[in-house]
Amino acid sequence: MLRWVVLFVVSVLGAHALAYWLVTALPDPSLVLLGFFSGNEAALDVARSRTALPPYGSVVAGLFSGDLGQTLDNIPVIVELSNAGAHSVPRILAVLAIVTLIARHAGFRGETDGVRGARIAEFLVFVPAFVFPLTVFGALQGSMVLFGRSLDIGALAQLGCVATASIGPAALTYLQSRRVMSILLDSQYAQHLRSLGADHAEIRSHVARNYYAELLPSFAKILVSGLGFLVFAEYIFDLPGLGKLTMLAITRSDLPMILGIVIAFSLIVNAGNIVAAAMQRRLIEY
Amino acid sequence: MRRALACLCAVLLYGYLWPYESDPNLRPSAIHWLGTDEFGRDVVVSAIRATVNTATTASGLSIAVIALSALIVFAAAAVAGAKGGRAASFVLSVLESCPLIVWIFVIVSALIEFPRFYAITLGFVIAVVPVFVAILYGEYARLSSADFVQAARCSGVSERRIFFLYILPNASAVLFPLSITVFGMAIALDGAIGLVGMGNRSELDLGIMLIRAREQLLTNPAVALGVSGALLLLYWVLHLLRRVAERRTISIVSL
Repeated sequence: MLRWVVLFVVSVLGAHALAYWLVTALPDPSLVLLGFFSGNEAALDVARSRTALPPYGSVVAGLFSGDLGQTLDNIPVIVELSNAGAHSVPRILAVLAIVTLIARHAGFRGETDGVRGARIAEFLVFVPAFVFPLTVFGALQGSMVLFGRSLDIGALAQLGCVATASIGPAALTYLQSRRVMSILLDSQYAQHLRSLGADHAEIRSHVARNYYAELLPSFAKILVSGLGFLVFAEYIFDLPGLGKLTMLAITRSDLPMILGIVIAFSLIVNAGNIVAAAMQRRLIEY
Repeated sequence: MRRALACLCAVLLYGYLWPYESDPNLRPSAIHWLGTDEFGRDVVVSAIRATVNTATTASGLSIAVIALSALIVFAAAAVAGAKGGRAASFVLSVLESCPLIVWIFVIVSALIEFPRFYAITLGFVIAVVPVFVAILYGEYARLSSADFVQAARCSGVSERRIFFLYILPNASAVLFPLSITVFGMAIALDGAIGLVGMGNRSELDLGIMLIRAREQLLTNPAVALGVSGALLLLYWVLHLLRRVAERRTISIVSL
């Protein structure tokens, strides 16, 4: 337990330190080529007027006391993160619920050696995270115009956001689930059950615990994938949340907000890792 | 695979031989299948040329990332040995605590005053190289204990020759799919940066076209269709290349 807590704190602090170093060490004026800039004029004006970050020691001291600094609009970063988190966490939980359903379907229904599903899943993992939200958003907007309805897509935006944010992690889970179940069905234990006359469904129910125990270590990658997809989905569907906050902070070069967002994501991922490790340990012990 | 290549050639020929410029915001017609954009450019042709430009940039990024990763792995192996692997694992665990695209955005936002190309290149290299260093280091650790490598060491072959002439070629089963994955990620990054609004609006670049597509979803949805189609076609081709690369295993042993 102590080891998990230490790893949790070290990972979060490590991510924060890396982000701090990146935003303070990289934009060295001597490296800026004269006469050119990469952003649009508004972003450049904001970038030039942004205040420098305090020394790293003060930032870490503030972190432990709950003060993550203030945004460019002089709102406490922790308030913005809390508000955004309140919108994003239910969506993350919805994505995880969909991923769990996919894991159950891929492991316990159908064949594990089917080719078509695997190829579709591999393609979905490969396509960039923003393509699906853009496509679905465009389809929804287009449908609204075609049917002469109001341009406010309301509740459909929430569904669209969660659905498109689930595509990448669901595809990843599908591939991993098939691989794990395929290995378990070829194991000596499964062969022994088969020799005793157990059918496919009975064998799968017997290896269920092993199946979930093998799948849980992949949970971190699936959660990170889900967060990456959610960032784009919330931004494209224009829904309040961590994704939209991330894009806003990036375009405005709001450094305290950027550091706060890295902390928030790091907390979510590492908390998820601990939950997955605890569940796996319980499954193995039991 | 041949059908895919034939389709790709046909698309490229269409993109560079078809009539390109006309009046702005024309509706779909026999000549301009998805109409024209606000600059008077054929939407389909623009999407194809933007995809080629982005793919060219992505190729450069892929080569830079793989080459730099290989050099870092060589340096880590030569200097740190087993500890290099542990250090790489720690850096990887810190990087994996945030989505990769967030790290890249953080780096690019810090480089807002740089030219777009340099910001994207630096951001991509800084964020992605550690991940590939960790993967390549694992491959190095696996192959460095192989019989043919031990035999080469006993024969007095230098570690540099062993790494570049023995280990790297035999890691090609991992390197080929990895290079295509990096290529796909570079294209994705270009699109993501465009979504954030960086760059000149008239540039023929996939990222810029994506943000224009999002802005004109209702006024000119053809732009979104053109860009989405080009993206999906490109990723389908990359996906096929990756599957071909994964099926090949190359063993090259040189004494």
